Amino acid sequence: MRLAGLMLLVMALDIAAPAQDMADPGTVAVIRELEKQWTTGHASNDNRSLALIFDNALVYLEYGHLVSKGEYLSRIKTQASSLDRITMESSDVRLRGRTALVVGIYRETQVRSGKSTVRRWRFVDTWVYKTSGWVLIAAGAAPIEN
Amino acid sequence: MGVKESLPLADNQGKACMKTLMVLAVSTCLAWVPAQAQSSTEERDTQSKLIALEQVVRVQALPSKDVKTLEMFLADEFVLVTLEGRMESKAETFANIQELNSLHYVMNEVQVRVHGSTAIATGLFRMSGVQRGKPFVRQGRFLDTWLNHDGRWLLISSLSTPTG
Repeated sequence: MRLAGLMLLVMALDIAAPAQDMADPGTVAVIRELEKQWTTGHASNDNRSLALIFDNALVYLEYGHLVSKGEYLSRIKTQASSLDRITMESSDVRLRGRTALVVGIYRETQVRSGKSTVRRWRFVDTWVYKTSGWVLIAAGAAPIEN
Repeated sequence: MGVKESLPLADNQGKACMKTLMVLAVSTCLAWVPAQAQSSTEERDTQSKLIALEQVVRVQALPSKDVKTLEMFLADEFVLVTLEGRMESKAETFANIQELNSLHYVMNEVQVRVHGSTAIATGLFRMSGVQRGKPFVRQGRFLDTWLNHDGRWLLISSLSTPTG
């Protein structure tokens, strides 16, 4: 009886989940917070918190190269945190059902051999809602030409 | 005595319950295997379909300025980020396509990852042609986001970035 009750509860949850309204302002706030967590996690070499918000099949386009979740996280772990700084300039969250696109501009400051360079990038991040919550499935950026 | 009699009964109930659970576990496993196999077949079908759609959009419709076909596969809220980091809407993209005098488009290493009704396509491209009378050659990597809406796959974003 308990088993039947549990199965009914699981079925009810499964039916209720797609009915959730993903286009509400709360969802936009969640996505913005996740983007913030990504920037913070990147800056503080916190690959454990990044692992939670990245999907295992993440596709990350970094300087024109395809980078997997594992490759990105292991680099973050060993990267000197003071060298690179990401500053968000603008971002726009576009929701469509269980998919969220974030389009925006960030500024990247890099210090190499004591010399600082600043580049601006336009990015597109794709988030999807899975059973564990919102996860990043793809991200890429193109350098903005002056 | 009553207790002794009730013990075998409880034991039988336990065995029956165990048997039921085992049957449930085995049936769940049996049901899971074909479901998984079906799921991966569906995923492969979707991957093949989206690789074909990338070919239609990029290699066929774009060089021939086939706006009618592009209109079918680009979502109204489509957003393009160009190699130069410019952002264009669907209407702006269509207007820029009209400025092309000629275009030759080649793509390779196309990969698709499916996440339910969302899919990510990546690949390398090289395009050459003439725009507003000026010849150009550009190459890079693209990252496209496709969304399945009522059984139709629509491109909602496309980003291009230099490879070097």
